[in-house]
Amino acid sequence: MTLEREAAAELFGLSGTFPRPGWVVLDAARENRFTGELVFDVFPEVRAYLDRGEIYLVERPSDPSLGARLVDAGALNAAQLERGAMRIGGTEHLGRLFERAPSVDRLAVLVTTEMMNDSCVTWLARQNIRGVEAVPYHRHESGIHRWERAAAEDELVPGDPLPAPASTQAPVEQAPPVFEERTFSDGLIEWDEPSWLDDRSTAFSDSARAASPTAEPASSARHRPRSIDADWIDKLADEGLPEPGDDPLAVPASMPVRSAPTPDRFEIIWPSGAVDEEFGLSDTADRDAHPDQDRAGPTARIGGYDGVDPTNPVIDTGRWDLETTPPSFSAVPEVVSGDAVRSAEHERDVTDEVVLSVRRAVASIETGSLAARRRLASQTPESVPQIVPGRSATGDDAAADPTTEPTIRRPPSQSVFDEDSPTDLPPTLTAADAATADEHDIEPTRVSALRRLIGGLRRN
Amino acid sequence: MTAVATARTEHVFKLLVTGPFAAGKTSLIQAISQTPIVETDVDTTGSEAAIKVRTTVAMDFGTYAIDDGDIRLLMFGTPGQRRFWFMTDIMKGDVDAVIFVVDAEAEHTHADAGAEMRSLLRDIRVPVVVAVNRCDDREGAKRLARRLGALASEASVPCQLIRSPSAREVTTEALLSVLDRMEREHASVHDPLDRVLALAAAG
Repeated sequence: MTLEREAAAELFGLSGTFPRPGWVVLDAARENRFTGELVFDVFPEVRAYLDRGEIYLVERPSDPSLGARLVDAGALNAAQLERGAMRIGGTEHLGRLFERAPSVDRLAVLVTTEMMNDSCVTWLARQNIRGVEAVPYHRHESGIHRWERAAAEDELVPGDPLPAPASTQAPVEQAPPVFEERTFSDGLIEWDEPSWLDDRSTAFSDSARAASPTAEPASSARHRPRSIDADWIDKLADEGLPEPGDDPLAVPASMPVRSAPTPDRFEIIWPSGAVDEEFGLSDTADRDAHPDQDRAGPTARIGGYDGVDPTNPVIDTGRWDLETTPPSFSAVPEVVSGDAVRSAEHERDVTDEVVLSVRRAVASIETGSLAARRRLASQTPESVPQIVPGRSATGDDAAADPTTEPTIRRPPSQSVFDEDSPTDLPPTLTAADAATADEHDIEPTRVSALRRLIGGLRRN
Repeated sequence: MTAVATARTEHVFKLLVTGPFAAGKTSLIQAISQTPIVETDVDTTGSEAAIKVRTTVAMDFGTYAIDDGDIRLLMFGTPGQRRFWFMTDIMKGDVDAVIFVVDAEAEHTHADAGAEMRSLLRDIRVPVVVAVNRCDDREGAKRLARRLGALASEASVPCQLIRSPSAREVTTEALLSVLDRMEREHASVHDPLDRVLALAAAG
């Protein structure tokens, strides 16, 4: 099994034209969006590695390793290289450099690599190339093609026409402000959805300006960034909310002045644009029966709310259905008295049987496996392994409880259909076996074996 | 004459190659295996016959060995059809890493691929490498992998599995993920702070 070398001349349509300047070959590789390795027949030999036509590494075989060059250039220090590189045979894999050594200055490494590439490509472009061999899809062994560079979503493919402007697009007379000057109030909760009130705020501003003798024309004022003073919510605080049926433009500039909200009151502006100034006031007689129901419709349907007497609340957990929000004792402080809180705290002391039942249900839903259900059903609460398979459970529950005796854990990779591991291990060792055996003895040789295996795969 | 038992340590690494129908799983194993792969291919029937002539119904098996067979890589390929997913459940139990192959251009398979990947990720905790076949764009491969349910930490590799260098890169990436994981676990075990804490707990 050898690498599939091809004559790049045929690959790029340059057959029979050599010797050619290096830049011609590089340009042909770019136009063909070549991915792989190019070996240039020039003295000294140069190897270029490309990804969709873009060179990510150029080097001569006589060059030191990339890691050593980065250390020499000062982009890395030796400790970072030692920590970030994975040594496989005689090569160092830098593909996970930034993940393994987070202290590495990513930009410095990228820029240094680019500068080294740049000097080599500049030299190569001027040379007369006698021939080129290509190995499509062969990556550099350092693995630096894994380094994430700038996102390529906006990149235009050569030859593609530029996107035509939309026919309905009007010419821009004046660019809209990039940032709007806004202030945030601690007592204000605001959705970032566009609201019809936002337009009305402009009307507020315009009408206020019209009343002022020094007001500028509304057409020019509309394109300006809104000042803090003209923010519509400030107007609402001072002048109150107009009725929805009213023409916003007909709202007089001077509305009845109301007192500014005290710090213990705040307004809620719902997505519909309605403003609930009295949210949280328990003494309001005509407030909605459902505090969770806004004026645009219910947003949090709690099925068990009806009929709850605020003076004697009885929380019936049996009435919650699957479509309701689970009861949260911290979420309904206004209607729960001290007795209810005490009963809620009492209910928190759930028994092990309840925990086991929940675990069974979750396992059944998660795996859909009858085998898993039967296995869990046959276990007592004391023997339940504190491991939920899969990536959703990465914590070590046994470690959380210092009183728990360390138990032999099932290999996490086992299928839900598997029975417990046999006590006699097979003669060969796998990762799952290694987890139950003495890791200190096995790991170094296994790691070394894996390194040799990767090296062997790469050499062929 | 006394028989002398030689202490040969064998190391076996197992890779599961899974993914939807006609994604390139068998091609990947064929590109790596040093021995003729054991396959269970039969003539494809039904609507799938329009896509390819023969298909795997139980498993593919390929091997790669170095050091006179002391270090072996075993590759197990699963059938891609939904009705054979139980084979994946059987085989995923004892592997070192999973290569999930998906064809970037066969968009009609992506829904099944997503369901299979999410099911897989729930049950295993070994590294998963998403091999996005017929794709050259690393960002595109990453986006597709995330769309199918892969975590950000799962490696995704754009590849052309009809090219053996590309298939080797996918396999190498899977083994590197295993190595990375083993080194991290080893490092955490031998971390000086961990050792001090362990001694304090023992004392």
